[in-house]
Amino acid sequence: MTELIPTSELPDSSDPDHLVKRSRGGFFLGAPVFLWMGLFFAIPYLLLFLQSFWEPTAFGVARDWSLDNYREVLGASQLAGDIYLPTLFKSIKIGAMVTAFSTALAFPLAYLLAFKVKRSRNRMLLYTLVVVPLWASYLLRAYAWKVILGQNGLFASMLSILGLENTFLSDLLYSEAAIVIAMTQIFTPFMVLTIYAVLERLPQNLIEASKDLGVGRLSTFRRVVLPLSLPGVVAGATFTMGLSSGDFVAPMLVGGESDVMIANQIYSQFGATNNWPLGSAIAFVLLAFVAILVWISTVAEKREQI
Amino acid sequence: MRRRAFSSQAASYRLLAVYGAFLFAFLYLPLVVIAVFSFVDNDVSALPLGSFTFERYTEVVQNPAVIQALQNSIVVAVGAVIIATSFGVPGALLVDRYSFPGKHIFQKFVLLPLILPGVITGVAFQTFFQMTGIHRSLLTVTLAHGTALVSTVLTTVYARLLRLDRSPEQASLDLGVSPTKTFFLVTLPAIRTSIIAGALLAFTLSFDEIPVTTFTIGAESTLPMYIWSALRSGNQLPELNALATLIAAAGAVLVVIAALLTREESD
Repeated sequence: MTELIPTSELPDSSDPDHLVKRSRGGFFLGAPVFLWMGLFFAIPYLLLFLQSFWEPTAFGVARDWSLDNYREVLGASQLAGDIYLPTLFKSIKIGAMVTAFSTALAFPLAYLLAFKVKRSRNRMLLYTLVVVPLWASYLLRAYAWKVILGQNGLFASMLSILGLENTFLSDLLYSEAAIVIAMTQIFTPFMVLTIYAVLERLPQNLIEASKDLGVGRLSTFRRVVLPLSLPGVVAGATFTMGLSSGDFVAPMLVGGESDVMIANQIYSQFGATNNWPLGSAIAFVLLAFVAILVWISTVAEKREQI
Repeated sequence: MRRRAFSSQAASYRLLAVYGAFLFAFLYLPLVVIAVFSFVDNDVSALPLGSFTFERYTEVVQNPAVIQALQNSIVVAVGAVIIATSFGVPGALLVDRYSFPGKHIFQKFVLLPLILPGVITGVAFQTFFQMTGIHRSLLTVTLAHGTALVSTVLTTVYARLLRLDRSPEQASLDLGVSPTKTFFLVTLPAIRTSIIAGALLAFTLSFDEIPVTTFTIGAESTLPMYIWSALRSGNQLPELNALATLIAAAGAVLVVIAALLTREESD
């Protein structure tokens, strides 16, 4: 699911005293879950992985094992040339920009919510105002940006009324910039929520102690608030980065003809181009990228905790 | 000196407030734009604005394709919620209360659909249904949604279980009430709202889903798929603005309900 969940990760297992090692209850609880998730979840991913080593044929797929698909994706095949790796890098670049912008936009608001809005009713109201666009449908928000930044859209008509059609401002239409703007708006509420969740739990007395010791507000922020909120920022950024680099809905709606992202290439291999094995290989390269991302953020979070 | 510090604090507070207002404007701009265009008679969503009309809404409500797609979306979302809840809640209890071999892998694996781009989950299911010869239909969409959304219910309920006070359960067990009875009389009521919140979340996610749906659907259409294909075929139907506004409003209502439910519990 491309959508976003506020509780970003499961914390590690709770109080070990409560954990039961082996029991019939656990078996009856676990068996259906394992069976279902194994059958309808593990097997699909496994088949996708196997398929990435097979060959496409005119009718579908031949089960001849090779690394050809990965060679093609990684640009080592002379026939296909080098199109997938640059697209992956471009997608990562767009994802990184979206992550940077939405983090920068979200942090001050989360800070405002956590420390400056004192009345809990106001805070609840503002919090809900942040959540509403988050759940007001991914597709609709991407669609709205198409209305604003698309061909014959609102922004284009504003430019033509103002006589600015041929300035740099028209570069915002149907472009990489449009994708970044749209996805930044889509992911900012999510970043606000994850950062707020950490800031809210910061011990107030730590901040007051820092102030009592004569540390200025800016240095308190830099030395106390910022380092302690990093785990939330890292967790939120990981999600935003993975999901925005791998999106195809927003790029297809607001991007131009040439603004294809890696997920669009997977999409077309499983659709019009009909080369499922190659599509599977691209999917697994993208999956590897997300896995590396998660690994880096886990390492970063562990460092922070020391 | 003190006064200056005070006024600079007030100034920075004001700056933050102005910033907050701007950010909310940015967050709500797209929604406001479609809402505005849904009430005017423009053929294209561009300036200048035409005159006020309700026609877009009557067009939407009378469009049989939209009604059919809406029905399909509801059927899929309800089915997905049933699947996600019946495996997500036991999954959360399992992770919270039992240790078993491969638990860490299970915990990470179940969360995959949350962090992975939807396109990967989508093509995995497409491959699975193709190889097993399962005909793609609304049923396959429901199955894919439900399975992927197990993670959503599981995280929501697990977060509640972590904060749960265990002493009432312990008391019940000490008093000789059976574990099953304790679960239904003590544990379940305590986590009930988190289950409802998780289910609502799963419902809205399924209702809005595109990436997994595109790869698992047959000839039918869900509401997002209807909008998606209308957009992709290039004709920007003006009534889409009305439809989008209606969906956003319905989504907002669900969010507020979910927010109120979870708040009640934390109080």
